[in-house]
Formats: sequence, structure tokens, C-alpha cells
Amino acid sequence: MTTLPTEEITWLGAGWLGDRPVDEAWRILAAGVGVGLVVIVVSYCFTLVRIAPWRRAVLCLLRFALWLALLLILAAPTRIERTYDHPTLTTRPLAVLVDRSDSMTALDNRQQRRLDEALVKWRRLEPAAAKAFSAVKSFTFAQGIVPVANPAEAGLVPTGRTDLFASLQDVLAKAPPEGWGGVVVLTDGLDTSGVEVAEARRVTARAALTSGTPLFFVVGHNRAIEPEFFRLREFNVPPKTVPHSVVRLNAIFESYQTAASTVPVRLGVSGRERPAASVRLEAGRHLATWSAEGRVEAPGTLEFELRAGTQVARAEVKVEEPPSNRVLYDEGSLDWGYRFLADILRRNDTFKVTPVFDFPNPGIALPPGAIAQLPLPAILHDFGYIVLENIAVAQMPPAQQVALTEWVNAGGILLFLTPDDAAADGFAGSELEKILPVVFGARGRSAAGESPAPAPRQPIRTGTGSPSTPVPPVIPVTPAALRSFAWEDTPRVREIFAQTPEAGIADQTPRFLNYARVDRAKPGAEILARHPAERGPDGKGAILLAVQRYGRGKSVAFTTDALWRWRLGQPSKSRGAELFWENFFAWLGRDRNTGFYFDHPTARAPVDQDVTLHLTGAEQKTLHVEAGLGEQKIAVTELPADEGSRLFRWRPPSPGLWQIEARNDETGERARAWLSADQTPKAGELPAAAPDEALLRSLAEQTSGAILDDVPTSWRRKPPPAQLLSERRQPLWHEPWFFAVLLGVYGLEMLLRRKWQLL
Amino acid sequence: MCHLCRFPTPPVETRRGFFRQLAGAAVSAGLVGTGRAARAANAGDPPPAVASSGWGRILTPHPEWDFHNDREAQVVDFIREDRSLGANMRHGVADPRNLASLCQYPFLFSFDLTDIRDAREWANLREYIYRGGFLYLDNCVHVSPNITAYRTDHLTRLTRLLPASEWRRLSDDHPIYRTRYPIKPSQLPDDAHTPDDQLRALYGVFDDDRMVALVSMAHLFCGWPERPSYVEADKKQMVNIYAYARAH
Repeated sequence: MTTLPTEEITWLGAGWLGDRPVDEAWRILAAGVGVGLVVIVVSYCFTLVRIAPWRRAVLCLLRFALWLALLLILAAPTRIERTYDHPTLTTRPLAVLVDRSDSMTALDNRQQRRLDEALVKWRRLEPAAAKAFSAVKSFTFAQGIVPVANPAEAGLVPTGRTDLFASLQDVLAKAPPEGWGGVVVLTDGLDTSGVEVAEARRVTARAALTSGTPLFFVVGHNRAIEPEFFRLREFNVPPKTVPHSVVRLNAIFESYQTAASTVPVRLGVSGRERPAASVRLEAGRHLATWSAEGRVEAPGTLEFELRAGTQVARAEVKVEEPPSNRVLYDEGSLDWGYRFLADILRRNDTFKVTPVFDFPNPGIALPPGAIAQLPLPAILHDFGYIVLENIAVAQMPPAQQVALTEWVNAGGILLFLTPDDAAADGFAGSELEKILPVVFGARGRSAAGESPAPAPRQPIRTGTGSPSTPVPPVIPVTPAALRSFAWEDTPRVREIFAQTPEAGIADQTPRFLNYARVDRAKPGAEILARHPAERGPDGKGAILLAVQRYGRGKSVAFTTDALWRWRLGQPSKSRGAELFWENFFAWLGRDRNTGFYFDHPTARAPVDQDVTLHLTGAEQKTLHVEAGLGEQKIAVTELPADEGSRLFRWRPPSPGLWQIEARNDETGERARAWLSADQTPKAGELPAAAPDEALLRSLAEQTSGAILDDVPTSWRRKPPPAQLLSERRQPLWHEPWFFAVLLGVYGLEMLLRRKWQLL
Repeated sequence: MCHLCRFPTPPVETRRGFFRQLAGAAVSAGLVGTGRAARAANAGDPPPAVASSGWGRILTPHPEWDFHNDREAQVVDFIREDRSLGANMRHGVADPRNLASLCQYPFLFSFDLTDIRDAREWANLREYIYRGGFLYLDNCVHVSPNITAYRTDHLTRLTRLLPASEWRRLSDDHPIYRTRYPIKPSQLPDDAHTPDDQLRALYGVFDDDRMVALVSMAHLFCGWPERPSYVEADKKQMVNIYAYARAH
């Protein structure tokens, strides 16, 4: 960050002329000059005493000089000294990791390697990378990593196996002190080391997120052909939900086929068959997604069974009344949002609000239950939600931001509310920004991305002659001045309003006055609402509400205030604001759990390969965990716990749909997961296997990276615009010497008039 | 008529008069210049980034409904100029005949509401409170000299306005005295106009156990010129009231 003073002279910046268009103001001044000149000349042509022409000329000149000086005061030349903070864009080095395994270097029928295509793509991106990062360091990998001078260099790395995940973790671990600004991997996404892909992906994503390093992938293709297959990759079912809510199921199939085909999909809910659907598989290697949703009403357990072709998956959802929700509400500056939102949450018995009031004066009284500062990381975990409203980056030390990041990663739900550009921009590049669904730093950028946005807002200003803080103008704010959120047409938005009749959605649509501009949404974020009229840098409506999963938690960016103006403008009987917040909080927390559950268990695993299962929420409970298939029961081994989850490792001995059950004999509570075990090729190189682009894409999106085909927007990031720190205005004519000259000219004219007997 | 040149007689002016005119012109020019300079220095004030806070004076039929308007503005400035408060305060007028006008401000102030006789205006005030707004009344001995009647009348009206609400006298250790600045009630000025010590207190009107209105008998706006040493404490206590309303 550097501070630079600038100086400029402005005209017509004040007074009634300053309120007019510049052209008009200059015309008025010019007219004043002309009219004044004519009046002066005429008045001295017809003096009461006849005087010599040169004397007339001298008097005319003196009077005209006086008139010009007065007009100069009206023109108000002012020297403006401004001090700007020029934030510098700190860049970190980039690591380029080139996969030189057999699958990347095997030739196809055109004698082309996947590596060739990846390198061609990379060469196109390389100049942009050189500009965006402080340095580019290259490594090659297959079994282990080896540093090389440039990506095209082969390096002496043993092949025969691809340690994709291990190599990525290795590079992340060997980052320079400032960390990598990003890691670009030229690969086909096939890890053939025999590791458990789901677990390795989780560990790698966590390592990247912890170090704040986005992962980018350049995928290499060629015409290698593999045998046809169709298998279930993921079956995502929320482990718990609340009664009277909508449950959304999602399955991802991966397949390779030479011709397009259709596979029937059948879903059973607690033994009852639902109408059959189908999933279309296009020719080539693809991922196909299938989803379904349904309402659940009464508490209990629902068991879902999905059958698609030969693939079978099973999962259960516990329907329970919501647990008590503890909300930590931290408000950065004096605002009315807390009074209104906290009142809404307090009316709902399931929420318990703890405000944080960071009042600077000693000896003050906090409201009952309030605390003076954000609690220690260990205590943060007692809260399910944290609301940060109007927080400035100066109020949030980096260590606290890291603690919040870890808290969200462990399952917390963070709502970040700010309607202020300056406050939002302050978080650009911060630790907290890494977990939020948006990238800050849009101030001064218009929809075109270049010209300054209208009416930039200044954080601090001072002025001479006015020691007091500038008084803001009174702007009438009526309900009519508020704008409505424009909802995106997405399943997520429909889920929020699942309880609301169509006619009631307008009543529950928030209305706002101010909003903060953000640069863009992150790749993994879901935009829920946009500005109805104003455009963001991407040309679409400016983002008002976005949400993103981060680890096991969620983060929400709310670029308006806490909607208190909307609440104050709504009839007290309408309950629109109340229902919106209740629905939104319930939707955010609907898959939060108080009991234990298997956290996103893998749906499929190869026989005779280890599978790691994460059991969350069990803490110190005594558990009995076993896997079963028919009459066969196998005890599952527990590993050391990891970040709040208990880990269990198990190796399926034979194909089939295995049920893993964790049971607490004292309470009778249990959690179940099903895993389809099948025979797959053993570890080793898969030169014919198609690139696993879906895996790479999910890893990239998790870490705010991307699959690279073109230069990503994050590499084109410009330094944030300079911010005005102080401004000092000095009217140039407001000097003693100027008034002395003025007086002197006038006095001289009067003296001469006296001397020449005009007075 | 001049006999020498046959021109009209030149105006007669003494040297003293001439210098008096000259001095007047200089002073005028200086005043005009200084005024314009101040305006130039303040020109281009940015609009507030966030309309996060507000303070509205209720327009009532009372002939002196805006009494002590200057002091009220000072209080608003006091809040605004305390950077640690981070409040972007606005000061305006709210008309109870118009609900939207009331709802422009989350915090409304008045010395006396008894002149509001229209039931629709009271209904608007009730709706404003139900929506979440806060009402602050402070007795001014000039506007409402009958202090006992004032307290009884306002507390009765407000509790009738809000069914199921109740009023409570706030104890001296109530958080409203320490929400922003630690103020002891004894730091506030003694008021010779208040005969009964019990009256010199703050009374909260609670709806659903939440304070929605405050009737102050502490005369926080009164007697500033006579007791300048108390002005700071008065202002701080009003900030406490404002901050309390926001944080509860």
C-alpha cells in the first residue's frame, strides 16, 4: 500500500454557479464580463466632469480590473490536495505441475499425447500467468514430483503410476513462505496410485483451502479409447431435515459409451416405488446428473433406494424437529439492523441470539447475554450461525478471520452483511474473503469493467474551515424508495420459499435501499438474488445474495443491510420480513445436525480397497460400528479423529451393497450408510481411460480455481482503485494579498476620481 | 450648476465619508469572500455511504413542537462526530399524519405528544412502534410545565395505545445509563423545576418485555445555557438512550 498526494486546480466548484452545468456557468461569467465592460465604458463616457481620454481609459481599466476580480471570486479557483491510498496488488508465485505419467504420454492412433494438447493450451495461457503471478515455478510428476526449468522439460521422474493427489499435496506442502498464488496442473485427472479417490480429494481440497491456494487444471485429451462402462459416482442425500420441508436427492453417474443411450432410474422411498425416470447418456465419456425432490412432513426416518441399470444406492434421511440454534450477531457499526433482525429471531423459540457489541468505552453495560468481542475459536463451535453485519476489515484481525474460516469449514454458517462499498472492498484479498461466495473489489468498476462507476463513495474526508464532520443531506427514504431483490430461477430459491404460496413470495421478497458492489461470484457459489436494475462487472444484475458451501459449512454474502428499512416499511401484520428470515435461516441450517451421521459417505468403492468413512457429531460417544451384507457382519476399524469427525476405515471383501451402521447402545441412536462394492481394475496405469474432467472440475470449484481453457478472470485482476484518504480544499482567491490588491485597485480608482474631480 | 464649466455641481463628499465607504466596501468584500471560501471548502461533500441511522422529530400541533431544535441538532451532531459510533446520522421531521413519514426514522423524538388529538395519528404511532420503531419523549419544563401531569398523561396514553404493554421506572443502575457512556444519574443536572425526586427519572414502556418507548423526566434538553458543565453529560445520556434503543 502506498499513499500519494495529488494536487489540482478546479474552477466553478462552489456557490450557485457550482450547482449549474459547467458550460452554462462559464457562459454566465462571460456574459458578466461583457455586460460589466459595456456598463463601465458607458458610465465613464458620460462623466459629470469632462476628463481627458487617457484618464477615462485608466479609470475604465481600474474598474474593469475590479469587476474581473469579483468575477474571479465567483469562478472560485480552488486548489485541491488529495491523498490517495494506492493499494498494491500483492502477487504470489504460481506452481505449474505437469503430469508425465504413462496415460499422459501414451500415443493415440494419431500419434498424439494428452500432454501435447495440455502443453499447447498452457503455452497460450503462459503470458497471462507471467503477468498475474510474481514467478512461475514448474514441476513434473508421475511417481513423486521433480522440479524442472519449464513445463515442457521431461525431468527424471519415474513413471508407471500417477500420484496425482499425493503430488498435489506435496507441492502445496512445499510452498514458499508467502504461499502459492495458484497451482496449475496439466493432467488427465487419473490417479492410479490406488488411493481412495474421495478421501484423497477431500484431503487435497482441504490442503489447498487451508493455504488459500486455488487449483487450476489444464486437461489433456487424445483419442485413446476405453471399454464402455456405466456406474454411480455419487448419491447425495441430506442426512437430516426438518418436518414439513423439501428433500432434494441428487445422483451423478459417469459413463463411457460409443453411442448415446438411455438408462431407466427407479427410486424407492421407504419401500414404496416412485414413478420411474430415465437418464440420458451421450456418446463419449460423460457425467450425467439425476435429481428428485419431495416433501417430508412427519418426524421419522426415510430410506431411499436408487436403481439405475445395474447400479444400486441407498441412503437414509432423519426427519427431526430442528435443534436449538445459537446465533452470534456481531455488528461493526451503529446500525438498526440488530434491533430488527434480532427481534425476529427471538420471536422464534428455536433461535438464541448472542450479540457482540464492541463498545470502546470502559465500564459500559452490555445488553443481557451480549459479549464484548468475538469469542475464542473453541467457543465459536457452540454457535451454529454467525452474522457479521457492517464489519470493517480493521475490526477483524487476521487471526480472527482464520478462526472463522475454520469454524465454517467445520460446519458453521456465516452470514456476511454489508451495504457499504468501502467496507466490502476492505475485505478484498482477506482471509475471510476466501470462504465467502463473492470476490470483493468492484468499486469503481462499471458493467463494462473499465470506466468508474457513478458516484464513488469516499471513506474519509476532511476540509479546511469546517472542523465538524460533513452533514449528510436529508434524503427522504420512504417504502417507495426501496428496491426489491430479483430472485434467480434456481432450485435453491424454490427451496427457500418451499413453504410459501406463490402469491406470498412477493410479500417475502426483501427490499433494500443501499447495496455494496462486488466484483464477481466465485465458481462454486450460487447466486440467489440480483439487483433488479443495476449491472455488475459481469454485465448481469449486481449480486445481492449469494451462498457457497465451504467445507462442511456455508457462507452467505448479503450485500445489503439487514433489511430493517424493509421491516419498518412493512405493515406490522404482514410478517413478510419475519417469514423471509425464518425461511432463510431454516433453509441454511436444514442439513445441520445435532446427532451423529455419516458425512457424505462414498456411494461406491472397489472391492479390496480401503474406504474411509467420516462420522460427524459423535464426539465421545461409545459406538459400535459394523458393516453387513446379508448375514455377514464385519467390525469396522476406527482411526484417529480428524477435525471433529471420527474416522472409520473398512475394506469391502466382496461385491454387493454393504450397509455400514454406527450404533450407540446407550441411547439407541444410529446412523447408516450404504456402499456399493464392485470389482474394478487394480491400481496401475490406465492409458486407455478417458480423462476424469469431472473430478478435476469439482476439485477446482472447491478451491475457487477453474478448468482452464481461457485466461481466468482472477488472473486479470487489476489493483483495487485508489482510495481517497484525505482531501483539503484551499480557495486560491481567499488570500489576504488578493483582497489587498482588490482594495488597492478600488482605492486607486477612488483616489484618481477624487483627484480628477469626479468625486 | 458649476459656474466655471457649466456642468452640474459634482457631488460633495468629505474625506472622512470617503474612507468610511472604502472601509465598508473592504469589510463587505471580506465577508463575502470568507463565506464563499467556507462554502468552497465544503463543496462536494459525499453522500452518506449508508443511511444506517436516523433521528426524527415528531411534528405535533403544539405551537412549539420544534422547541430546542438547535440543541437537538447538536445531539445529532454529537453522535455523528463520534467516529467510534460509526453512525451516519440524519436529522429530520416525521409527520404522524403520514405513516411513511414516521417510518423514515427508526428513532423518533418529541417533547410532548398530548396535542396530538387525531386518533389516526395515534394509530400511526402505534403501527410505527409495532413495526419496530422507538419513541423517545423528554420533558421540557418550558413546553410542558406541569411535570406530574406530563408523566402520568404520557405513560397512560402509551400503555393504552399498546395493549398488554406496561411502564416501569428504570433504576439508577439500568443499562440505559451505561450503554455507550458510563453515566451516573447523579451526573445529570438537578432540576429546580422538579419538585418530586421520584419524577426525575426515566420511564420505559415495555411491549412483550422489550422497551419500545422512553419517557424521560431528566430534562436532558433543559438549562444548557445556565448549566454548561452538564451539557456534555446530557448529550452522552442521549447517546446512551439512542444506543440502547438500537441494541435491544
